[in-house]
Amino acid sequence: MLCMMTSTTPQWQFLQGGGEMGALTRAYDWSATALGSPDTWPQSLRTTVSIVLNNRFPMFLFWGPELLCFYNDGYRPILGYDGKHPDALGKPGDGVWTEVWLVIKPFIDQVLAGGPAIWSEDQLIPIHRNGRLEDVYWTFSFSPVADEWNKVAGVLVTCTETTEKVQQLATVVEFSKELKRQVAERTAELAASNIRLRRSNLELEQFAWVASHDLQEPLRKVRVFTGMLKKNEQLSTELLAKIDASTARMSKLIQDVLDFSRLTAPEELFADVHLDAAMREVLTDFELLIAEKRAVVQYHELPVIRGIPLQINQLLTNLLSNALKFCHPQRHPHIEVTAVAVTPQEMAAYPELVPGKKYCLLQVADNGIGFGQQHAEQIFNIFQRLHSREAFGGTGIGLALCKKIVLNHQGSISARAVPGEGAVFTVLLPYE
Amino acid sequence: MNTRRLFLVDDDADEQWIFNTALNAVDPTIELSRAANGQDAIRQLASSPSQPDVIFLDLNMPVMNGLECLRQLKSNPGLSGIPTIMYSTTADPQTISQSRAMGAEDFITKPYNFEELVDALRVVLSRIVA
Repeated sequence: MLCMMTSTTPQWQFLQGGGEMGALTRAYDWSATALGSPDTWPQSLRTTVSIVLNNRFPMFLFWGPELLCFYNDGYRPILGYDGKHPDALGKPGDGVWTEVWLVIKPFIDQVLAGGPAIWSEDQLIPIHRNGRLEDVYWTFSFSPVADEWNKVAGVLVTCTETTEKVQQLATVVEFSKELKRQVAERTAELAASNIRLRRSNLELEQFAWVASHDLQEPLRKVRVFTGMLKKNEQLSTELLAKIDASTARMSKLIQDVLDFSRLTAPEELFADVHLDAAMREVLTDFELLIAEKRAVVQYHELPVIRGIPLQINQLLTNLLSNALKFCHPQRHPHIEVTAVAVTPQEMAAYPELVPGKKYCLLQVADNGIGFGQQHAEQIFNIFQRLHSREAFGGTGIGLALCKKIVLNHQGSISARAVPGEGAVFTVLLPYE
Repeated sequence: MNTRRLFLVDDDADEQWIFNTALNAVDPTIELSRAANGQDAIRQLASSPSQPDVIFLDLNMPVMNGLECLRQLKSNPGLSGIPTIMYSTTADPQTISQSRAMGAEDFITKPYNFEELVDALRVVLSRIVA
């Protein structure tokens, strides 16, 4: 063997060169294989082996009925470092490539049968390498090699491993997906904050307009009355009473506007609020009015929620105060306060709620004068009134205050009513 | 000359009192009828056998506001011919042009001075119900 490696016989010129694989191919005992000694090899095999060994591109050759294996230095790293190399040389293909034979045998058969060359890009063909079954990606071609009788005697495999490229691409794709997801998330956040901003701008405009209108009204009256007073002293007592009433109203309006604008929601104000206890407290404040109107107020098993105690108290006070104020002249007020947990299905009806949060649905139902359902949204606007001040007192800020409180708690408030029959105010507040 | 009749639609009792006082200062013979909101006004006007010479219509009222009342007045063949003047505390240019487009004769901003109101009423009345 050593003798064959060092002194190359002249008829084996075709095995010259080819680096490590060239040397190994020359040293191999081919006479023990079906191919026999290289000096008996047909020219087609000699030429092909010479091309394979001297090519820098990874190449592998299956030859003859046993599909004996040849490969070059370019192919060598693909076989790993745990025994496939150099054992694969000169061995039948099915023994070398046991783990992928089911995949590549059909390619070989197709080419041997005279079919066109096979071409595949970045195909996953896992192989045994470095002690384990590795996921390996390949771009390869299986092409026919004809012998002297123009019969396909071999299959030349030129290939390159693209595992790294495919993995990088997968990382890039993954990264780009993640990037897209993050962009979409940020866009949605921005859109939501835009909507909030637009709503808040609109509310501010509306607030400024109605505040200026409603605040100007008593002020203007005072000026008209004082002007009249200067001209006509006879009317003085009546006018002074009117001036007094107007300025009192002005004070009340300014106080309400201040209360409204101070309704913020800093995190540190949030605490556990026992709605049962809060309701008891509110009812104590209304004790006299309830007795005077002979009203019945029922509530049971109200939950504990996370909220701003003072604001929740204001909310319940305003809702109760409304239910007592807008009572029906022909019947005693009957007010019922209930609370249930909101199901995920019910959540869908309130797009303004925060997804994933658990909400409690609080309802305050009365048998008062109600209102037309067409007014159900405008009643929550600041200074909006459905009745004249003479019929029902107040500055028209109560429900706007309720709405702002509920929004501070990321909740929802709405109303349903039937004129002459009563109203139901529905408030959704998060438990946490 | 026939007695002139005015119709004031305003929910505020003080405003009604001021208006009535100013009207008396212009001409004590003018009759004034009142409604507390748009709905009340339409109901009264539709059921009345005779119509006023001019309607003064406040903008911000409960139940039915001034613009909605104006729309209903102008779409009612029996009432659309009555000159209607908008009468409000605050008037943004958009609301003024909107009410004109809807058929209002004029737009009077409620003045801060009683005399101004008397003068404004005198001008309007001489123009519309001379």
